[in-house]
Amino acid sequence: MSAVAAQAHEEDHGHHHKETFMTKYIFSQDHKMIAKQYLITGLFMGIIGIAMSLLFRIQLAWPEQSFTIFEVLLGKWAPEGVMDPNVYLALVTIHGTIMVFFVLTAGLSGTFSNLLIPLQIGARDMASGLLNMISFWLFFLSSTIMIASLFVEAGPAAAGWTIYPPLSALPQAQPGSGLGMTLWLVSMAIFIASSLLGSLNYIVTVINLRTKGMSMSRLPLTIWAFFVTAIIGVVSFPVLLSAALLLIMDRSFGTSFFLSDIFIQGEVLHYQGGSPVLYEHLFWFLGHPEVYIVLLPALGITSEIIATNSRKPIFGYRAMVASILAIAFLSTIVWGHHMFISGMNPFLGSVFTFTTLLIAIPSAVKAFNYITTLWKGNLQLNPAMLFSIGLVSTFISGGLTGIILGDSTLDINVHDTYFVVAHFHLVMGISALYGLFAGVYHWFPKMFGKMMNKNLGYVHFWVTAVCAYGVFFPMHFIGMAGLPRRYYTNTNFPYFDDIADINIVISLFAFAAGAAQLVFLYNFIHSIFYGKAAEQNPWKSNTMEWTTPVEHMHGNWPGEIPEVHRWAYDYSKPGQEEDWVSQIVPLKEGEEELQH
Amino acid sequence: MTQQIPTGLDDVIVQELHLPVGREIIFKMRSQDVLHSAYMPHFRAQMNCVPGMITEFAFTPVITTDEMRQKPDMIAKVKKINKIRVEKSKALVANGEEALEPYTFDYLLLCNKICGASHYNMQMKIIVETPEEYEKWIAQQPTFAQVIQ
Ligand code: HEM
Ligand SMILES: [Cu+2]
Ligand SMILES: [Cu+2]
Repeated sequence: MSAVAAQAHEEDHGHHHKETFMTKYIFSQDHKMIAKQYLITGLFMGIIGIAMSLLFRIQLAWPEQSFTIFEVLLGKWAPEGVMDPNVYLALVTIHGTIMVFFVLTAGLSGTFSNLLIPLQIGARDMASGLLNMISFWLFFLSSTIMIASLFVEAGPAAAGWTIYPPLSALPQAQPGSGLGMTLWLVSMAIFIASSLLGSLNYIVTVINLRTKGMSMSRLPLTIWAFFVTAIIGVVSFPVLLSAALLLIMDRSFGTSFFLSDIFIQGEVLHYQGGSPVLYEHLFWFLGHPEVYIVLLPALGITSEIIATNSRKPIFGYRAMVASILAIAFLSTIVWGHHMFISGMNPFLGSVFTFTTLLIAIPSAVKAFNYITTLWKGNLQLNPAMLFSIGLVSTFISGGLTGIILGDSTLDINVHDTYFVVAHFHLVMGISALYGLFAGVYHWFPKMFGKMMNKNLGYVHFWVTAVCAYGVFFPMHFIGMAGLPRRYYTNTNFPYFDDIADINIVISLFAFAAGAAQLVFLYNFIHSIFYGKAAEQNPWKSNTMEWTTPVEHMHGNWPGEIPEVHRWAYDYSKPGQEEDWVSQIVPLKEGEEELQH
Repeated sequence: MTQQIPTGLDDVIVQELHLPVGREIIFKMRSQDVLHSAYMPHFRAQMNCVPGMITEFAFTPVITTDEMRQKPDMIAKVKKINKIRVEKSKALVANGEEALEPYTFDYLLLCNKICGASHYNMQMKIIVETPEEYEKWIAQQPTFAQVIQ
């Protein structure tokens, strides 16, 4: 933007733009406000999702026993305080859906892409503020519908977050395949529309609105991660939309895309020629990339925080970018590893094994580069840094079991058992959640102009870190013992009786983990109102968002947008007085830009 | 595979699958209603049952049920399980309910694809036996013609 235009922009906002409460806080088109809206909606959904997991953890630890809390929260679905099996499945389903899509897709990407893309590339706002606002409100609408589905007569969707037909297609198959499933599908269709609008906006903004000097090779890794995540979303979410639409057709308009030869409850149905396996292909064509949609932003955040708090340049910037691109490409050709035993051609199984194991290479590059960045760094172990290191840990421990599950011959043994539950919670769920927390602790001063309490942050991290492993590590063993997931109770199998104690231990860790999140919530809310005022650049970070004033303003920078002269990782650069140099500081006489 | 019975949650479907040891068994599977998955953890075998198509896999059982019951780790495991069941039974009996039956090892076949409210209940016993025992068992089974009479 030229100086004149910038001036005009400023005046625009100075004089004509009267902001009412509605346009400032509700229907805002300012990316910083939209980021906060995403974060708060995401956190709210997260509370519900985690609360659900605690409810079904009670059932798993003390199966079929009566609890007042069930009676209070579940009402007629818990006759005499004993959870109904249909409700167990409903809780698992909605827990999974909320955590994956609403918390770790919208809540994570929505918050930090919105906040950081304009601020870190030097733009006044997103390419389209209007689309951005619509994207948030569609997300809000889909969240509302998903929550509303909890209150319908027969209960919410209960076919697992993957909602495989025919179970999800036939209302007579289970109570959760009635109105609750319809609402699930409608909610997800709207969610996808929201996600697509958001992603298109992120892509266009990164391509077009970078400030002078911000070449692609100087982009912070956060932006690379958000940018590529948006591309993966645009490529794969429409395929889930098509699956949802076809499923709606099968459910309501008598088509047979996914159904054939069905005899249920004494009735022969007319469906002919469809296949549930087709649905599985469509679902996982999104479903696998989805785990990277969840994970890449968290990895981007981690790159930024680890470099800043190690006071060292990120190790292997180019390798990091290349591995993000490689992961993005590979993520679209591995979906079949979820279908080794679906009845698909076994030859395809070996193809998908090959492509899946290839992903281990760029993933290992990233893990290696984090560790080498940390190596001999001047570590600032603040809560954001701890959560980032926590992410590296769970990414590795969860990733290792991915190598087992990616191999079709080994996966047959543990597919759909608790081994899988352990794997995906660590590598995707917990890792991305840590990324979310790290991001909140790190950019809280930028979002709210206040600092969060460090000590509460330490408590939050250490309790969460210990308990997350306490919950998910033992699940590997019960999975290898053959315990299936999505089981209301294991008491019908005496063979699994010796696992009962472990289930109690897991649940106790889960409750402690849940309690730790209350510490976070308290810290979050309290700091917004009573936190210490933030300085402009509390972490002495090089990226551009810290050159904007603490007090939010429309258009981000007063006056002209600064020009960028170097990459984002000039930490502890020889010949500089400080151990950091902002991206907007010109090269000194004779200083060379680092070869990265 | 057996159908789910939404109304009969406490129906434990007890059926037995008899396999002769040392012979390759080819399983052909289909489902009438929704997806199920035939999971036999001790054989490390698993395959979905899909309405509208036939899926298959094969394996050769090499250890009979009896031999498995004699293995030291299995004896230890069963002993541990029975100790737990005795403890649990005490509580049950105190409440006026029936005690749990003692456990003996059997190979499991269980459903491992979410299929509705009784998903956690779908199971069969697999009995791997010597060819002689197998022949004896099969001779006692009614033929299909007898069943449909
Ligand atoms: C306190 C934290 C959490 C606990 C205790 C927990 C526990 C569980 C358990 C035990 C299951 C398996 C239930 C079953 O298969 O019968 C499950 C399913 C699931 N969880 Fe979590 N979880 C937690 C957090 C998360 C997070 C952060 C994510 C984000 C990715 C997540 C995503 C899922 C998904 C996708 C499923 C599968 C749902 C399905 O089977 O349809 N969970 N959770
Ligand atoms: Cu995958
Ligand atoms: Cu089942």
